Amino acid sequence: MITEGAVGNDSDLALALSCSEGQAAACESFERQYSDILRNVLVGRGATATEAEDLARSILSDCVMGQPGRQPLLQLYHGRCSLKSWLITCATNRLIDLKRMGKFRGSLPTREDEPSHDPFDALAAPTPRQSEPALTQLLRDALEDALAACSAEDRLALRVVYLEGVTQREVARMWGCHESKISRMLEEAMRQIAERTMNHITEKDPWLSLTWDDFLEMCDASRTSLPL
Amino acid sequence: MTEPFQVLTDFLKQFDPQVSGRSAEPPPSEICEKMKLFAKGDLSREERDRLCAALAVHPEWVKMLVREVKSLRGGTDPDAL
Repeated sequence: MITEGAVGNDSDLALALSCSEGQAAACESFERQYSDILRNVLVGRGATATEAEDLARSILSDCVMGQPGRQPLLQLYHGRCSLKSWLITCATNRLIDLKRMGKFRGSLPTREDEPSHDPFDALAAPTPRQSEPALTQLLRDALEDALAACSAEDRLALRVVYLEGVTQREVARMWGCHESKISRMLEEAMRQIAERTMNHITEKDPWLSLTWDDFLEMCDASRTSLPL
Repeated sequence: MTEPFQVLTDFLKQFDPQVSGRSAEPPPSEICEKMKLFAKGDLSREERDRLCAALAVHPEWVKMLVREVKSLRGGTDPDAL
């Protein structure tokens, strides 16, 4: 279960391992540590108190027991992010599923001109992306849209500075301007990416309450295997 | 704390089907020359815009630009790297 990148989350990984082996004390400790956190985060992100309670209970139970015929979810935790971030990301994904299912129930398309028509036929066919978890799909779409709206110049500057190790002084030389202008340019580009991303999310799921830091935390956690 | 842009890029990388199979076709010599000038800061605004647009279409060429920039740190010949 221990994998590259797990450094720093050793105690989380040990707890996950003990729980998935069914050790009673570890399971109690796990539930004690995370039930309030999950409930509070879910309410903060737009769940009702009842939804938060039900989702937190089901996630914690699935983590240690697993659903019928499936392994305990904690066996999918590899320690690449903190257990807290991982659980919060899983909980948010389930919340999105739940809320969208509720919306779906109330808005099945109708075609009055064809009385025998099955309304489910009017639903769009699944696309390959629909095999992705709802949350992953939401994060990805929001981010891809935001990056596509960035200028080629901004994207290049962001890449060479943050991914390729080119200094802002070197970028300033390339652009023929002062270093402080590059610093402002990078800051503004990131601000716009954040703004566009969050706008996309608000448009898609208006009930979902997230901050940019929440978004980053879930992107980080979503790189690891999410239990779905 | 990892840079936010790094986190975003790492997240998107998992969906890139070309990560391991992207062809390393070298850029045309004209683009190579422009990258050398860009690295030194000797490219006009219009040429820079055109080059940035080309690099957006061919992100695999950015590594070469980076190599040019870094080669100027210590006077290293980029072709020797």
